[in-house]
Amino acid sequence: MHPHPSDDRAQTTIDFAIGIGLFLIVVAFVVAFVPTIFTPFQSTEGPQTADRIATSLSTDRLASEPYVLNETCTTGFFDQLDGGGPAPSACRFNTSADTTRQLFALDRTRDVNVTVRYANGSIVDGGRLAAGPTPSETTSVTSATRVVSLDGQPRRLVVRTW
Amino acid sequence: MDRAQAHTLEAITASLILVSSLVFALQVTAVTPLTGSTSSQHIENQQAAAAEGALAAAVENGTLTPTLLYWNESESNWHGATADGYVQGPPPTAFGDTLEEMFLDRGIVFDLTLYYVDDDGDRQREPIVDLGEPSDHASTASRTVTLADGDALRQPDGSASDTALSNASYLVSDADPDQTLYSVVEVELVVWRM
Repeated sequence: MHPHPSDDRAQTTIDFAIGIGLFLIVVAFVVAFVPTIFTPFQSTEGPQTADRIATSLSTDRLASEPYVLNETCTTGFFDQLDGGGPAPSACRFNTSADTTRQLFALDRTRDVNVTVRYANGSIVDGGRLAAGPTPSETTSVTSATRVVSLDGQPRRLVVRTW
Repeated sequence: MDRAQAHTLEAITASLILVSSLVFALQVTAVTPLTGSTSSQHIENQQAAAAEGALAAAVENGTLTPTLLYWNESESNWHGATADGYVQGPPPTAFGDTLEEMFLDRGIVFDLTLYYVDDDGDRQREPIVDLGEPSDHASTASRTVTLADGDALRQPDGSASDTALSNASYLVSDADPDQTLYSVVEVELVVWRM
């Protein structure tokens, strides 16, 4: 078929348009899909830091036995980080630290917020048992939760890091 | 120009090569975004720790044992439970309330099971709460509880009755009739996200 007798190519413009269009669509798909292949290998620092801090606090640093918090050290921990005096020296955390970052020896780029909450999510004692800066609203924040016993009552220990 | 070449076929071939290299890349990676469990690993860790913490908190404030003693002698079952245990939610005890607040209210369901050793020395299981078959990603926590001869069975309202375990017809039999130890049982809590 020769729509233009002077042209010897056996290919029409439409053919070419379909071909290159299909090719570009596939290229776009591949470029869009490739980054997701590497998602599992990206830094898992957030979840791991949150997990480690939560485990360390609930089973060791604030605890008298795993998941049973020592009341004196727990209130001392939050008072100290809220600007009160240092916690009793018998407590097993850095009693001279003023910020959560200093207490957990975190990088300068990382920060953490620790709260003890009722089962429904509100903070115990009208917000007194909370330490650390308000979580960032612009970056990804990871949280880890533990169920702990404080003063004989079941509570949630929530650690948020970003 | 005497070319008789179809660009469409070339483009299709090129696309096929691109897509097949992508498929190849997915196949050679052991862990891909399509591997379900890596993304939920963090959540599973949380649930396992939460289950352990809930049991530890219940042991600490002494609410775990009363739930085990919430037993109806005449029906040989937990108060108001079905043959499969409580199937609609936790028992109306303090520990049951904790489980409801900590797990059910957050969309996490659980099975609570009592394991004991019977007279023949076989390990038996008795469901206390049975909210279904755990998923593949369920987490388990367990705790051993010591029951004493003097522990009183609980009445339907949760208060202690006059019947001590040593005189009661309880599920578990007295492991040591001569001494005050009644038996040692294991409580297992399995939690998973619905």
